[in-house]
Amino acid sequence: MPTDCLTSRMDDVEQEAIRRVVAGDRDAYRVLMERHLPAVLRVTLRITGSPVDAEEAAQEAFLRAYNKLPEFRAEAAFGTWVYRIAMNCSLNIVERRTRDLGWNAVALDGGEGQGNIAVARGLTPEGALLDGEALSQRERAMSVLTPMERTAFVLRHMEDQPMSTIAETLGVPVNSAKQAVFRAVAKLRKELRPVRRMAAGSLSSPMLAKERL
Amino acid sequence: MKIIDESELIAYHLRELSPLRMRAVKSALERDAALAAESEEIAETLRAFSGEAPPVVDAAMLERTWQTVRPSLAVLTPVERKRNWWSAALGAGLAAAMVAVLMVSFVHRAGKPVVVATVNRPATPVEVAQPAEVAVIHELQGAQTSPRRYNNRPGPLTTAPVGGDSALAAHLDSAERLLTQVSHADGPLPAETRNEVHHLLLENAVYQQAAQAHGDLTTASVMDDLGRVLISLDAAPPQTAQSVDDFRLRMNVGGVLFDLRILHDNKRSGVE
Repeated sequence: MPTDCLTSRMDDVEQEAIRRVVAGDRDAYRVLMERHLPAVLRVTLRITGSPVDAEEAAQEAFLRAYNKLPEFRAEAAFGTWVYRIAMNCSLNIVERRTRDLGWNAVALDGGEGQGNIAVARGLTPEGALLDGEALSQRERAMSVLTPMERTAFVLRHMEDQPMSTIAETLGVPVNSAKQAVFRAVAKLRKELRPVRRMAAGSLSSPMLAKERL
Repeated sequence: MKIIDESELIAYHLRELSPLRMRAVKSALERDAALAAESEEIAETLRAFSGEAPPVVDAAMLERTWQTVRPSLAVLTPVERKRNWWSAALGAGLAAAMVAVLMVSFVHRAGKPVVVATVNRPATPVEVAQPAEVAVIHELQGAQTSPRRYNNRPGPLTTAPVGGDSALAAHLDSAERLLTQVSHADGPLPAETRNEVHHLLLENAVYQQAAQAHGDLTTASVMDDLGRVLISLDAAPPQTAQSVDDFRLRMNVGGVLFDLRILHDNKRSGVE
């Protein structure tokens, strides 16, 4: 099958890159980074909520993966592996930032940090403004979550990860991970309720009108 | 009937319920309007966080990330993979077999009388000396802490490493090679060998005096024995005959060669 052949070739390229890196060719690591940076950056951005922190977590994840590459089992997928490392790095950063009182301000700022990552939205200026407002409201709602709730929610709902993986990342039993997700959704629902009421009272409510589409 | 709460509704939307429970919740939502409204609110909350466009990583960003990470990348060296259980078992088996062979060899050797290096040893001196030399080298490798004497005589042969002197080690090496050559030689010695004997004889006198001056009686004793052999060889007539004297000389060569090898080995251990 053509798709299988393509996947097989891609795996071969990765295996060859890993072999070269382990043999001492540092520059071969760029191949792996190029392939997996988008997925890693997506998850780090979603968990941290900040482009600056997302980049930091992604860089840390790739660095950790590099240092552990000699122990990497050839039969495993590098992408899955580095993705999991990225989840842990993001959670660590969120926990660190939570201890820092200024973290939420950075996350909600939406100014210079947001410009660091190009987002393919293809919106008009007005649309971008409304989109920015919706993003700001979502981030405000997310800011009430604990790091564990935020990570669990992002991984389950946005990244579609199984509960077992989330539990492993958080270092808690599966049932605790589930409860964290449920608590997160309940809190977000509560936080977004006033916005929904406003939207219900006004047909021109920007955020929910867009979200209903 | 089990009451459906908010957590269960959330689990329903996240598909975290069993198929049986999913059907139960679905039918409850069809019957209960209030529950359906609550469920819709949860669904709306989840939709608000769905469908975000993923970040697009452009070339500039990749380059920036790579340039940040690249200086921190150390050159890796492959680690040895863990061996399979069967190869580990094979290795352990081989090690056990080697230990058993060594132990048997040790017990066998311990039961034999001590080889005494005398001029009356039978057969070819080298043939007699080599098993004893192997035994002593085994003793040296046994990591014994207290020096032991061999042949019940003072001086030359101990298991203790001797202090390193590269010039002396080179002299011992040359003497050892020469005596080996002489003990295997038939007929008269070639002229170059005789020249070498003479050169070593002069050198040996210096090393013997130096060893005595430093109180190194072990080395001095071997140098003394070596000196006697070298003098005999140096003074021997060019046309060596198969005489009794020649035979005795060869015996003595073998004995000195044996001592010399042990001392040389000790010197090498000291250098290392």
